[in-house]
Amino acid sequence: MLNKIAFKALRQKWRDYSVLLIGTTIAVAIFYMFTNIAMNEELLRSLSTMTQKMIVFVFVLGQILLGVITFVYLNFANSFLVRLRQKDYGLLSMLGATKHQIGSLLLRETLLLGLISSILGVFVGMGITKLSGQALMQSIGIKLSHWSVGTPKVVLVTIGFFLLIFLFNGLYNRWRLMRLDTLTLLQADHVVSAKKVNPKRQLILGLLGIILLGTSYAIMPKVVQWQMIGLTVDLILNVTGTYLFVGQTLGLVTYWIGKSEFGQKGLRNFINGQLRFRLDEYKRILTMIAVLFGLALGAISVGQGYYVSLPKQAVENDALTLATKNPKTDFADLKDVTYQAQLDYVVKDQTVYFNKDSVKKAQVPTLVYQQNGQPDAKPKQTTVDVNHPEDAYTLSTLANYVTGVPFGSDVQLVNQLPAGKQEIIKLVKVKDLQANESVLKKMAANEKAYMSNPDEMIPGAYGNLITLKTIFGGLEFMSIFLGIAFLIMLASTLMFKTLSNVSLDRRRYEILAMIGTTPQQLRLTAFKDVGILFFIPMLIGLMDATMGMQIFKPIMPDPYSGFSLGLMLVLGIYGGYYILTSLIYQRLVLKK
Amino acid sequence: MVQPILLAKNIKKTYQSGAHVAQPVLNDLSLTVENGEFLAIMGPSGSGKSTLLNILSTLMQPTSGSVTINGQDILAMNDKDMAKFRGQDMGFIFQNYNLIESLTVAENIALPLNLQKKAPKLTQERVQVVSELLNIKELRHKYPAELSGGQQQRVGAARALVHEPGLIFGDEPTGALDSENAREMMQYLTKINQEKLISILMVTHDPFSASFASRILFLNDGEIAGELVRGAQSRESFYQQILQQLGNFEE
Ligand SMILES: Nc1ncnc2c1ncn2[C@@H]1O[C@H](COP(=O)(O)OP(=O)(O)OP(=O)(O)O)[C@@H](O)[C@H]1O
Ligand SMILES: [Mg+2]
Repeated sequence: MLNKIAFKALRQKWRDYSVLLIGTTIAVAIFYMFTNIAMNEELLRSLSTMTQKMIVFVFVLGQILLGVITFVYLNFANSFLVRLRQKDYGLLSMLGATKHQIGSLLLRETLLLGLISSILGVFVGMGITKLSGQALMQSIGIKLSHWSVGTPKVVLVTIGFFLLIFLFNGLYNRWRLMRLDTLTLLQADHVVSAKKVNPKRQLILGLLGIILLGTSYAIMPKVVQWQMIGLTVDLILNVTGTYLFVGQTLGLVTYWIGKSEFGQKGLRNFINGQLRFRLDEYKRILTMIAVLFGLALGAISVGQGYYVSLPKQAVENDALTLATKNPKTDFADLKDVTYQAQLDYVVKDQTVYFNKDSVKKAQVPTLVYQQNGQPDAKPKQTTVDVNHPEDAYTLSTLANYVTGVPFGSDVQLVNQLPAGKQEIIKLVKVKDLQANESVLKKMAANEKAYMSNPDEMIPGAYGNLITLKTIFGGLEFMSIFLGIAFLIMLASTLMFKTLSNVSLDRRRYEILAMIGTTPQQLRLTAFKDVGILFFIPMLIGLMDATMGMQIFKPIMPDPYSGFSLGLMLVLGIYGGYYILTSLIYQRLVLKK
Repeated sequence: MVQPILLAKNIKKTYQSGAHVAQPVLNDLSLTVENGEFLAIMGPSGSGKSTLLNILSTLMQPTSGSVTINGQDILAMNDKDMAKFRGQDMGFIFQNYNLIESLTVAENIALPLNLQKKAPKLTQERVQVVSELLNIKELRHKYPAELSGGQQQRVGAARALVHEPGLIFGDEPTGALDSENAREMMQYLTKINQEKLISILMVTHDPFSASFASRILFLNDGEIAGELVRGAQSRESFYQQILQQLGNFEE
């Protein structure tokens, strides 16, 4: 019987439930995607050869963080569910249903929702994993060989995790419901009283908030010097500062606006009052969202920043763009060729012989590493000195390449090439590596037939770029992936927090309408009302990320190079959520 | 003759409820509110009082009929003009919860003026004046949740008249009050009516509250079933007359 009621409830309030269902499904899907990667050790290992341990650590940490957010998020989603049902429960209780019956009804509804959204979420998660994997890999231009849509283990872990959370939430909801009496249930739109504040205390805490937040920004450029301790201290300062800023400083601002003439125009005071009223309840979630917003934007920007610096690094690490053994290669397709040449050579006993005169005449560009016995000195871009061929990086890479034996080949410059099979290698250098990438890609593909060791990289900046991309591309991929996953979770959390309070707001908007607010003004006010809730954490998060990039200055060539892309991505998703939320909010709050 | 402030003609209202044909809640009802009049509409529960008031106050559309306020045909207006009209020419007092609990008393009262984009100085002055009139000056910085029912109702009244509308609507304005508070509230409304010359249209099922009005219409089955005019008699004897009339209806 109760099962039937639970199921009927889902059908009746379908529109409200669908918001809830979509939200929880998204949470499951994101969690699924993440778990899928975190449990794919082969993939993680292939992403980066150098930082295996590090990346596993990052993912474990990420998984914990995501678990916590998911938990908080589902709590909000569940209180939305309770709000939806509270009045009905009150009625049932009045009609004689026992607390116990109603409690188990709520538990069943919660579990039913959990089950449906877990199953849907896993499917959606698989879908997104497939699509986003393809899209991201294509845009980065790399191939992740161990990328998979999922294993039964991942599915089980995800569904298990969510059913557990839903069970917990259901039990908690039931416990809370049991404590309320029938009257409270019936008056679901309970009246909240404003919290009394001590102005002096608020002023001090408000200022402290600004100071802490400011300090956390000020020390960011130096944080890396102090390592883990520096990072931890900065994070604590930042989080505490944000918390005080949201709870106290903004409280002061709303207080001043309420007093000022600015607040007297139109519905400003209404919006201000809404914020003032909500701050106490929202300060925790807004702080969490501000910090995570900053982290998400930071993660994407750093990943992207590394990635955009790759062509530069690739060019810095080689004097040539490409060397090819394919005699049919035509450099005419390339744009802005700054150098090209062709050398004859003979290989004998792993030694590669070039003609000294032709090398001299060709003025082969090279990097020279060993200068004045300082092996670590920055390489110098120059041309091959025929008297010191052993110093010329270009010649040794060419030798390694044509013999197919890395590190073992020797180079000799001779006046007369020894007897043997005489081959040619063509060299080219272009001004802009990225502009020529697609043509170079084709040349590299045609080169395969001529390579003595097909696993080896083609010499030159283009080859470097491909190597760097396979190393860092995976990292970038992960950072974007992580950033987006977190962003979606936090935006959904804010969405449900806002929507679960709708019943309180509805009456206020009704009164506004009654006393002569035009429909258009009402819509605009609702937009602003929700907008402020989204704007506050975004603003702080933006500052966090902008300042936080300073942390990477010592270890990245240009930390801000990926910032604009990160910003676009983050603002796009976050903005989308804002619009969605305010549209739903309007639908729920404004009567037709 | 001065034109009436409100003129309703042949109002009909039928709620659309699914497939079955519903009885009309209001059936061909006409009424007039003269300028400066304090009119009460009485009727048993379900007789359509709230429906009538919502239609007259532009919050709801009738199925047919016409409503003219201050010479303007309000049914011909679009949503926006209607809202503006409500904001400028009307005030509302409702049974309960008519304050916005996230705003202080002063901010609640100021809302209609804020909406009309009046100068902040003037707004403050007006809030001051009506707060004094309704004896809620000390409550200015409190939130609605900190007030008693009677105090909340007075704040609601202050907000209804802060912009000096021509007509105030009340739906059971004393419904949530005990008799002492109800008496106080009705005395304030009488004061507004007499001193500010604001017309009042109020629906109630409470004979005591109705006895403060200058005229009473009785609503039954969607039609006007009777009328009482106070004239020169005292409120007390008018009250007796109402009770008698109600008794007659019951028979
Ligand atoms: N939105 C609605 N949809 C359908 N029927 C409605 C609606 N609102 C009211 N009614 C019906 O219209 C009739 C009149 O309702 P109304 O609220 O106007 O009565 P009332 O005189 O104000 O009663 P009360 O004294 O109980 O407040 C009732 O029979 C009611 O059931
Ligand atoms: Mg009513």
